[in-house]
Amino acid sequence: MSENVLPFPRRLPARRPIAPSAVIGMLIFVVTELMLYAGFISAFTITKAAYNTWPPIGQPRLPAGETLVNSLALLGSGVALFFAGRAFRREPQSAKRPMLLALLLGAYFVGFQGVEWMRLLGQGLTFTSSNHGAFFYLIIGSHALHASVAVLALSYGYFRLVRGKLTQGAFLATQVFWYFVVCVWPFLYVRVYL
Amino acid sequence: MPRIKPLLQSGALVFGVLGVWLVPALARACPMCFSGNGTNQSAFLWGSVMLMLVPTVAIGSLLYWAYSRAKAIDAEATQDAARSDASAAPQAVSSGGSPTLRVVSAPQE
Repeated sequence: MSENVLPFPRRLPARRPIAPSAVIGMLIFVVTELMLYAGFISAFTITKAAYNTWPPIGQPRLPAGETLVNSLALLGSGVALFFAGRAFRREPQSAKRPMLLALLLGAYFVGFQGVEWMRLLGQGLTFTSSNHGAFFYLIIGSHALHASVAVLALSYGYFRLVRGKLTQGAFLATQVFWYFVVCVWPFLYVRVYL
Repeated sequence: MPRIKPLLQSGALVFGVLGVWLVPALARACPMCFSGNGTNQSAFLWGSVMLMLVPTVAIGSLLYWAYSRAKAIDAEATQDAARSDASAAPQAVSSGGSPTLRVVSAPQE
């Protein structure tokens, strides 16, 4: 007769969440946003294919070169936020500088887009001037809206961090949203500007 | 007497499928395809591929990430529990025997 002795009462391991709720909610939101952009790009590709020349005759060409510089600023802000995340895990207060850099680069991106839009409106590219204008303002405009909201979220996060009240969940959720804004941009740039 | 309506419905379905299969140009001649030229058809094709792939990859990645995170956390929790059991056992012996559950297997005949 064999006998096994188990400690009693045996404690069951407590369930732990796989990630903070803010992060999971943000990830689900990002997946739905990806579908929105997939729909935009699909519709744009089909409409563009029906034209022999693009942009349509009489419509200005988009400033691809200048926007490339702006794109580098956006990518740079993504890199800065990555380093901010690493610093936050070590010591939250040490994330202040890279987070501020990410915020400033993001704000520069949004500001530059505003300047670019003013110039294009002056050249006659409006929402109703052609399919070119309609898709440009719809796709790039919705991205600019997301970037603006992300800059606001980063600002909020930065001020919470300065006061020492930024939680890890809130930081990670902001990081996920900003990465989405940064990562979707190269696809939009290649499809719309080039 | 055979029922006519189901037969007609099945026949129409078979002829419809055969028609699309044998004469694909008819299926392409939809009013949404603008001109039906090669560039346009290619745009429709890649647009459809993208619209199918993006949700599949995005949701698949999200689920895979959740699964692997849950697995890693479970493994970590099991290790923690084993470690705390191992540290509790010598204390139980030294304190003169804390309550233990004796599992006695049935005698084999």
